Amino acid sequence: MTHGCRKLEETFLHAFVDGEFSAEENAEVKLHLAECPACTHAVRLHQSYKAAMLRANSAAPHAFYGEVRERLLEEEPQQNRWARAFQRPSAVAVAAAAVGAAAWFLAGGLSHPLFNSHSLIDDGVALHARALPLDFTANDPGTAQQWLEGKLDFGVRLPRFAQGPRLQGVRLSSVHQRQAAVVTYYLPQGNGRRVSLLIVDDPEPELPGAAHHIANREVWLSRARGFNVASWRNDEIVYSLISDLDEQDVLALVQAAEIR
Amino acid sequence: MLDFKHTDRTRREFESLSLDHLDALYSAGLRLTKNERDAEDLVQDTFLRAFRFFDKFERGTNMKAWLFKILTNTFINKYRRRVKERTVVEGAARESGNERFVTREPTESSADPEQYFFDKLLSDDVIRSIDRLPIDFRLVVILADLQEFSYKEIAEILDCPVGTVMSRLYRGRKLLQKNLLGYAVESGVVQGGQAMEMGAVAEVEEEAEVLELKRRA
Repeated sequence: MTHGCRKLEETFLHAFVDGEFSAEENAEVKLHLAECPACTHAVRLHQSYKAAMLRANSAAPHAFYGEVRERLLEEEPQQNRWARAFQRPSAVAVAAAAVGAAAWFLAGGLSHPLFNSHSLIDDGVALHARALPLDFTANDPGTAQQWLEGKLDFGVRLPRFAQGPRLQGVRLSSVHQRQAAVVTYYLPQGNGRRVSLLIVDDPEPELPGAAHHIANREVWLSRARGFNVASWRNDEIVYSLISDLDEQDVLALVQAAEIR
Repeated sequence: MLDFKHTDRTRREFESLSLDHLDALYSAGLRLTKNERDAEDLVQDTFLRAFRFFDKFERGTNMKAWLFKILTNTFINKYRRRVKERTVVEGAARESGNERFVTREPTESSADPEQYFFDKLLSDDVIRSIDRLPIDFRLVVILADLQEFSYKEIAEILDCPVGTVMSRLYRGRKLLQKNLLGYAVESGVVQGGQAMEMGAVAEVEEEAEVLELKRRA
């Protein structure tokens, strides 16, 4: 459809108003507009059409924003819900109960027969959750491994992570009267959250959780008190990676670990 | 690269990138579904899908366009049939459905001293005119004129060539303006003769194409 000018088409002028042209092209069109009333009229008309269309936009109902956020929260993996419980006033009672359970747990709950089958994991999670001070700080595995030598009655080989966790240091501990080392890492990409690697000489034949085959080794994944634990065995030594990351991310960590 | 895609941080990142577009998605959803309940469902669905596929979103690219691609795909796959069914059942019962968001006042005049046809229109009539467009035209008009996406972005959202976007947009606008003219004359905002000079009437051949599209839809 024409608009009374033979030089420029209406669709061309629409594209100009729609902002489809470069700065140079815009300048050329403006030169033409300065001397062509028909095109100027077509441009103004299209501008007024576009303004009328923008005014026909609707805003979402006020409560809708909150509804969308609520629904998104339901989509989250479990362990994030655990963390969120502490941010929400409505969940104070739940949080208080959890703190009570943790206190009982640390005060001797471990010796309860119910915990015996998974005591290693629960013990490790309790150590991780407490974030006790480090005995030795180091940010390279070689130094930390050297420091550990002679302090434990078994040999330790610390994994190396090409990416992801950064080593912070080591703490000596004990799990069920057995010597253990807790190696602490933090994740620069994961908001600085902590990851613990519990290393213990455990003769128990079975590791808890579901078996996965990752990077040529068997890795067992289990959950305890909101934490995911990935365990593998190297010789007779059990290594357990403990964090509040979700399952996929934990597996990615194990994948990234160079275990020698 | 480890990206810890399902952690709290990811949710916060998703929310900060996506929730700004809630009103835009709702507004487009309302014009697609033509009723508030379906619009809310459609937008909820869009956010959930976007969150689930957030690891597929390339950081630094256009979040709004990505969300709108999900919105339009969701609408086409899921809501279109449902909305059609309900339209048959409820008929004209929802005619006043948009009143909550619409001002009855005539729209303000532009900075230009001359008054243009579209400056005088009621938003209600604009909305009714959009809603009457066949879906293929409505989609393009919503994306271009309500959401101000570029032709190229629309082509990506709808997965079609830019040329198709441009021709649908031109025809959609003409058809919409024709609808609009009818309402404006009806409500006495403009005189019948005034509209002819605006070039608001679709050509006969375009009408034929529209009818063809309607038949196929």
